[in-house]
Amino acid sequence: MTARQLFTISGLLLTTVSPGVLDGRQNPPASNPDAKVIIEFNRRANEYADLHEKLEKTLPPLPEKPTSEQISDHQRGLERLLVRARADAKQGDILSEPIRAYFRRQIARVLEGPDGPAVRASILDEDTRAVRPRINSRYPPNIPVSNMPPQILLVLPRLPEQLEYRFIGERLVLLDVHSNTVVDYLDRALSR
Amino acid sequence: MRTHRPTSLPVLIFALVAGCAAVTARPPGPAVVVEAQSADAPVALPNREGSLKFLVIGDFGNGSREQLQLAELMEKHRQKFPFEVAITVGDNIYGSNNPQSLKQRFEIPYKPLLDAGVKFYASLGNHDDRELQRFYSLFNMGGEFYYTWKAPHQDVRFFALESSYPTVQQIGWIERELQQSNEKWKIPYFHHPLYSSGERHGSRNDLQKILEPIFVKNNVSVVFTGHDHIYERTKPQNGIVHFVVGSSGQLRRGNLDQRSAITAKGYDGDRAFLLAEISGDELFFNAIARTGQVVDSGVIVRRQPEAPQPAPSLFPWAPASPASVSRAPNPFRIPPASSSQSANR
Repeated sequence: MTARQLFTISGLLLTTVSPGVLDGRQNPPASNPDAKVIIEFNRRANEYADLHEKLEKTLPPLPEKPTSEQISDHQRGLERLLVRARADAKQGDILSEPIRAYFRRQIARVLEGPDGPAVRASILDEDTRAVRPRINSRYPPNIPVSNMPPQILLVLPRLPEQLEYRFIGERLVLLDVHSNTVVDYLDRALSR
Repeated sequence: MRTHRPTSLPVLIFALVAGCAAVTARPPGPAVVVEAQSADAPVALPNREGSLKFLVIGDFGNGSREQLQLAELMEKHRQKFPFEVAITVGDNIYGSNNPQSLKQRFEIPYKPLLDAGVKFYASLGNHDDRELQRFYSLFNMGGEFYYTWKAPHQDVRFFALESSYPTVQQIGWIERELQQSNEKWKIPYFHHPLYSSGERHGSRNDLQKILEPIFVKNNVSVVFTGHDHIYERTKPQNGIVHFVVGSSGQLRRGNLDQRSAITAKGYDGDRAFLLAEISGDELFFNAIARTGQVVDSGVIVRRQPEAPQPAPSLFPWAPASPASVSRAPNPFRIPPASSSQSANR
């Protein structure tokens, strides 16, 4: 499958499932049952990204050629600011129940499709089941990150650049890319 | 105001003939591999002036004695075979990723190479702290998760991908970059192998389905990956040779599936790295184990467009024009020093 085909399929999916709503700025047609959910997810994800941005701007900017110490200090500084600002954060703040249900449906569609076995095998390639994610905690440094199959990334809403999806065991985790901290997570993501 | 001009008959005929020729254009043929007949008679790297000489390492940054020993061996080889660039196929640093571990597991082991001016161009594995490493100046990633760079010699362009997170944007990017690249050699490298006979991980089929057609279409001849802690060179898969160089620090001894039908050559007895040299249409390679033994060697002749098939003649009574019998360079020619080599298609 080429990238063009991917984009085409992606476009078809988005027009059938959630026309024009993945960027969270357009009004969906009232008939689409998932549109509101996706808009709400985008709103929450963008709100997080805005907070991240605002806090990161208070840190000294990285020089053009930073040392590893400077990069590390920046990461940890951002982590401290985010944890402080989100001290009351809890599971479900971004991935609310309707959003969780939508994500599970989307993932199930892929897993039940022709690529399902390869996709599942790729996600579970590294055994991360022993890890229990905690909101605001750093991704465990000794645990490799899971693969995110392109087929899964295709059916989930596009994230702002501050966030990424990862699996930890069967949980889908929203990870802050710059600070490597857990923002929210979804249990039983690989089962309906 | 634009007006329509009537199209002339010669223009129509030209368009028809050109159209037929385009329809019969064929994709490039497979990469051709000529390998050493035996371990006792490896194919030597020719060490030609003006060639691109480079090092490939993967799954290395564990700070072990073995990693250090292998790094010393790399420097010994560099003194005779002066490679200027190194590519890493991910899992550059194991365990906690912090400034100290970057020093212990990268800067200290490879100090002689770094001091000699070898530039490392990293790709990220699933053990790597992506944020720390993409900004780390010695990895030359320019703050990107995926990027491309032109080699300092020869007509070669490298493409570093982030295979643990292949977004639609990244896949669109690689397809666009490969299409727009005019270089003879387009070399993608990344962590997760599209083809591997490692029993621990094996081929990553979800990614293979997406990336392989793009590589095939865009005339890629070789792909470098890691992840499985073995060394492997595959037989050409849909025309492309895949290398797994995942034992430059880590090792899963005995993990190579001996019954695998895709293996051209594998080695899981010790740590290994790969030296390669591109000169014109040929890529010479030597996989070198910690003992110093060359465990795999050979030369790959890059995929080249096959000779176009003659278009169906619109004028069958006319003699064939010289253009219709033109030939592409013969990809099956045996390179120099071929006496101890056998063709493997």
